[in-house]
Amino acid sequence: MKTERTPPAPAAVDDDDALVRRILAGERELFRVLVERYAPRLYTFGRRMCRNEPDAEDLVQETLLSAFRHLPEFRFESKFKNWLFRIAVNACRKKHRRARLAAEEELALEDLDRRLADEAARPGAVPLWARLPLERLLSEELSAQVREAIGSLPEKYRVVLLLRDIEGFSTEETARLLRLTPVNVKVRLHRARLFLRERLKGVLEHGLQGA
Amino acid sequence: MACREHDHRRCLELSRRISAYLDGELDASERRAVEEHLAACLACACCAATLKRTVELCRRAAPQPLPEPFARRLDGLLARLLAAPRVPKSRPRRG
Repeated sequence: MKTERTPPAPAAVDDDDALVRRILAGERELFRVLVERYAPRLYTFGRRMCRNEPDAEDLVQETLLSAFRHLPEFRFESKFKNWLFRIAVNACRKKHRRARLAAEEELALEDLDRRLADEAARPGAVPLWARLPLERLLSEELSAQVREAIGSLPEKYRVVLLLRDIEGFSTEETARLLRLTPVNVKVRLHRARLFLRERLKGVLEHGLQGA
Repeated sequence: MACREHDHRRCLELSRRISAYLDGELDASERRAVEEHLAACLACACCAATLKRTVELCRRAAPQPLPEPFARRLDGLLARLLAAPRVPKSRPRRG
């Protein structure tokens, strides 16, 4: 006897590839699950890359629209998330080219080394902000300061930090997404982290005085 | 980075590998060398601890939720896309 097959609830499909296969097989409504899953992450990425709300919204919209249109050409050669973020990175670059942003800035390793050397000249104990349990530091205010510090990174460092430290892509995945060498990704990530550390050190050391 | 108790030349060289160390991307012998240095050098240990905390703070910085009006617009766009008869063909995009 032929029975009616009840499709599982969309939220039950955890695996992106399985979801994409079902969408391509005709269950197009399931694209909503991908949107629910990735729109907030793309928006967070967009806010930090574009540094303003309208551009971040455009980025999310363009990325999802492009993903929907090109989904039939997705060949499962990479993770869906990687493919999606590749579209987002390209959309972001296109937007920045259009906006004719200032020439890319460098974070000179020499400057960062000089700061490290200054620190080394008067070594002290590991500061309180690096010793306290993380939960005791976290606050909405600090999150905003971290976001602001990330926003102040030059774009080529910011995108690496966002993909590696926020989105959790590996060095190799980030290199493929950005068409860089893994060594280049590591160098940019390290400089970005050193730069942020300098910014946050000031905020946290001041904020924790008397704590 | 430098510390009075040991060979200072190693510090700067090591500081460039701290991120890779924190990410578990060094091989066993490199990792051992970094750990031995960190155990002997307060300045480098301090650098590693503050860099590690910086990464943790980045990871935990609250995500920014979709603004409600935008979420509604996106929902409308999606409804229109899904109501269209079929996905239009376009140039290949490898993935």
